[in-house]
Amino acid sequence: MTDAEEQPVPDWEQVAREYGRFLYTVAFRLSGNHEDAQDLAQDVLLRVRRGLETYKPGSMEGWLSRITTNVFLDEVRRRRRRPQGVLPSDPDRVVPPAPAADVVLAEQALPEDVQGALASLPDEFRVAVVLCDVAGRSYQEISDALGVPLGTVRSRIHRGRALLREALTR
Amino acid sequence: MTDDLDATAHLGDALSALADGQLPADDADAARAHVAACATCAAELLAVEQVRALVRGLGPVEPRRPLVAAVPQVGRTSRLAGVAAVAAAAAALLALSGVEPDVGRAPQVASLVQVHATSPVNADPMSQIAPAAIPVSLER
Repeated sequence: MTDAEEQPVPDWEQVAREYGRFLYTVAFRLSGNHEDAQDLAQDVLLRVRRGLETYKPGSMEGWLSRITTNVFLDEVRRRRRRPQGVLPSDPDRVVPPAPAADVVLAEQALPEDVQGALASLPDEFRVAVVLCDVAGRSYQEISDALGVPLGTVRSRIHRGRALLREALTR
Repeated sequence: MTDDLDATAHLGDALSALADGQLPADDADAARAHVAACATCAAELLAVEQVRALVRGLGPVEPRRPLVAAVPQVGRTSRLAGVAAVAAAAAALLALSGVEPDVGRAPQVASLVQVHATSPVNADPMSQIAPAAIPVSLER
């Protein structure tokens, strides 16, 4: 209470009202389907409601992006731990080919194709691309949210785009 | 010599940083100068910009249901388990009351299931009747 740096955590209903679409859009692009997006977005609101997230004054979108990403990645790790025969991927070992310019690509790709390509990315690449291009976060914010160096953010975004391009021109 | 330097110093992921406006001003100037002289990097920058524009061009997505900070989340699997439990409990009640489940009874069970599926956990009507018979798991 006496800490002037601490701001009261925004009311979850206000967050849902004013940022629900942003939150849901990020959740949908991360998870790739409505069922998981709904769960993810509501988990985020629940954490806000329970006061589990420290709110630092600044960009509400940045704060929500960070929480959403962390909840999403926690769920991904939880699913990976289950014996489903799915091994954790090492995204930094994947080396996609350098993209070649294809001027027609932009006019041919439909939103559902782009969404499909996004969903096909390994999680770590998709998270980086979504935070950058959907949530509109800076590399520094993404670095803070993911707890990885700036160079890793840059590399994942670039490789993610190369993989997207590959998926869209296949 | 300049060609050799260009060939060994392609910008790689700095091209994404350039497209995103995330390079410091000096680095961005140097990168643009390189791109102007290097066909490989110019092509890759174009590719980056195209993909970037496609993802940024995806529209916002509307929730299909209102977002709530619900406690707790009932996942798909557990919801099915809950439905099965309610159906079993309803069948047990019918059996206890000496009434055979028949086609005419089915809609009542269905309506209970519907109420259960759309209600907050504590509002489950069957839990008032036979709480011990409904092992609803909240784990996903």
